[in-house]
Amino acid sequence: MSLLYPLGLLLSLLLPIIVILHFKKRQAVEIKISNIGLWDEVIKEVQGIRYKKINRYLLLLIQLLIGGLIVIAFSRPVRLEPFKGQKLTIALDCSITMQAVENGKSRFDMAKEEIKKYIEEIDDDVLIDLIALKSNSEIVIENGRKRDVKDKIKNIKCTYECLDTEKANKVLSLKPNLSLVFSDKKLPFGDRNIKIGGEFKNIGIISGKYDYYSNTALFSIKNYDKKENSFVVELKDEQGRKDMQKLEVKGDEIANLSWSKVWEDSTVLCMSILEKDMLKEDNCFFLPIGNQYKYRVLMVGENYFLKKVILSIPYIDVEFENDYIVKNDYDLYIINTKLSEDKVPKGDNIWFLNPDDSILDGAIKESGRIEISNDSFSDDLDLVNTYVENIPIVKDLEEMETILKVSGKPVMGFKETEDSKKIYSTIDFNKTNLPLQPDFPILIENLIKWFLSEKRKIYELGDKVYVKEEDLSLITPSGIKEKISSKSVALKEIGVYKLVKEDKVVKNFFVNPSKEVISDYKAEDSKTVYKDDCLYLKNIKRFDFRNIIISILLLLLIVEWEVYRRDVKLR
Amino acid sequence: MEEFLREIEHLIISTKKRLITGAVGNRKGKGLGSSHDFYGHRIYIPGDDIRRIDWKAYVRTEKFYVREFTEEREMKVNIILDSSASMDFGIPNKLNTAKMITLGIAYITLNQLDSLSIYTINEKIEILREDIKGKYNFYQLINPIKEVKGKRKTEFGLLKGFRSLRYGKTFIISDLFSKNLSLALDYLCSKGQDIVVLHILAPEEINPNYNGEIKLIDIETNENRMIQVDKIINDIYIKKIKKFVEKNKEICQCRDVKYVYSTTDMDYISILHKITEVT
Repeated sequence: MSLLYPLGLLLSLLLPIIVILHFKKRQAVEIKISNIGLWDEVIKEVQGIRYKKINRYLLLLIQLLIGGLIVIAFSRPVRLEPFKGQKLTIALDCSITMQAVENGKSRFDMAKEEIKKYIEEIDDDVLIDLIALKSNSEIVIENGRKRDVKDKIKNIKCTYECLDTEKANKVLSLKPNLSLVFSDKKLPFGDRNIKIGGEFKNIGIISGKYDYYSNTALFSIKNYDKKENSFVVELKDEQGRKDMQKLEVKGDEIANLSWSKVWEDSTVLCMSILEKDMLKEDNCFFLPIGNQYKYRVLMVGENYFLKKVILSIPYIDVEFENDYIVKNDYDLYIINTKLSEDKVPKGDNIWFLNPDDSILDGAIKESGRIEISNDSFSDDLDLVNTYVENIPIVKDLEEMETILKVSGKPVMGFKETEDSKKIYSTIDFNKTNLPLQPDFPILIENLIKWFLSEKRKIYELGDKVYVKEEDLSLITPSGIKEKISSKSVALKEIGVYKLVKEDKVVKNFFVNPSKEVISDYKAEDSKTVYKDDCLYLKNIKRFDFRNIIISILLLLLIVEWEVYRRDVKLR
Repeated sequence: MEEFLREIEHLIISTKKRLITGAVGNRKGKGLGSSHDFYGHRIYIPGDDIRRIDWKAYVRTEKFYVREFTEEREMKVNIILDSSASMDFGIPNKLNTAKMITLGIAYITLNQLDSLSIYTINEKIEILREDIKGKYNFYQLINPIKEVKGKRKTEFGLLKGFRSLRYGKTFIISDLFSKNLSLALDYLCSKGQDIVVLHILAPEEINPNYNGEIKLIDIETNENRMIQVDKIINDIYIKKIKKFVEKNKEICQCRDVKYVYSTTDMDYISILHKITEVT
């Protein structure tokens, strides 16, 4: 039998307290009375009716026994049996939190060492599956031997991704063997969850955005620690201008930070936490805000009212053309000319203000009220007194959903595919009072927001970017230049990726930390520490005596209570 | 004090027994005397006071008859105040209550022109004042009574040989934590005393409500007992104290001694009312 926590025996130093308390309790309070005679009679009577006097030291003995058992329970006595099975699954958490550094060593390296220590002890003929747990967990080795695991594990790298527990569980469940999960988190799967590292003392930026209307940068910062932490955050732009703030965030809470009136001519803002913590990867957040990072919109054809509204939206950069010219890289095309749909490139966002006749289905001659019929576009919209007359009807196609209708007939509809969004509208803004209503700019912005909702300016770890051109290279945030061979590239590092063509930067991709490096993380989770010492790792099978001791303890407590109750109370 | 005295001004201590000794007073004596209460006629015997001859009876009967009147004596009131250490106990203190009751009885006695003697008893009997008369002597009693301290044990047995006690009404004010009460009462009854026993106890003695391990120390004897008190023990004690009160009541009643029971949390006036009601 071994003790899992031998230091728990130090608690036995507290046992003399039980003895002291026992004798202190026995020191009676002195009370003066007028006559002892009556009490003598009481004592005489009580001695007659009570049980036999119980030895005064019996209670002390039981209490010492209880104290001793508590000490042993804390020391966790276990009987260990070496693993004798044939197959074993080892799962290694490769998520971003494993990059956390403790005592100069990353948790990932600590986990690798623990795995190596463990497999040293098991028999050579045991077949091992090694699974790397990350956003897309994968089986690294199937039915491998000890040596294979030792060789392969060296090459496994920790990712910047968050762990997808559902996917990880699915992958792990493919292997019905006894499974050991090496992670710094409490994971809801695996036969043994071996905790690597201690508490997660980290402060991380979990989101950031820029409000163009108020010229304000907004950030959310989470303190993963149990304790309150104060730290300094810095906002910097590409020209090197800086501003700092001191923040105090309570343990396990999220603080929102706003930076108003930021420099108007900045193109990229970077907020960073200056204090060192366990995970440096989530201490920096980029916000591209300059004109070159705004959404690009091309408007073809004249439309006075629409032009006014679009120019007032600060987060888009609009270009105007009279005729449609094939141009790429616009986030949205607004086409106010008669243009056939097959003449525009596929996979783009297009708003047809003057759709092709094939989309139309007659017209409404008389005047009618404009009504909104789709909740996705109705934010802050009223449309009470808006009318239109002499308006063509959009065909009620199967794949088309109505946005606006007049007299029950669709006059604006949308179509959405995997890679494109399209809106067809027939309202002539010169024949309606809609542009004169306060609802008009709101409606237009709602439509534009819908178009741009999938278009990303800021990327998260694991996102993919699609590259249409050839002969491009990508410089990662760590400075490695990679030739792009496939159409899509996964962004695996936090920082700025540079798309380069012939040594010229074509585009930047800003990759920020994920919303939370540990989803649903609570500071208490880090307290759930499974055994991480070698004794436990070497021996997968064990018999823990703690439950038996606790059962005996409960029984003894009942006995102690009964002895206390029955104690003659007279000495 | 003045208010206390005003409240008890109207109370009367009386006795149903005929007084056979003592000076002339306001109480009906056992013999014949010169009061205004007519007793009867008897045949004139030479030597009788001729002023007592009933001349109207002579006219009717032509015989000399003498008119006779009842005798009037003063009542002698004795107060025996228990001044043992056990009396100096409780909140409110038993001895203080007993002293106030003593003062109350003393005032009523002197107010009704009777004679008063006050004694304290513990391991010896001390005469505090003897044969005091007159309402205006009351104030000289206050200080001596206030100075009485509770000490030693009560020995009621001492009353057996105590001859200074005047014939009349005797008040015993005590917590009765003594063994020889019946012996003392027997002696006093044999001497024809009209006895009233005021049994006074503190609320803590009736319902102690102790809890846990305690060391009880007798303030009279310094004897001690270790005891673990809980609700059951408290209940047994309460039964015992009730039995003790009942026993003392029985001792008194079977000797035709008036028994008044009171606790110190009662006000003095009510206790005095109870005492005067039984006399």
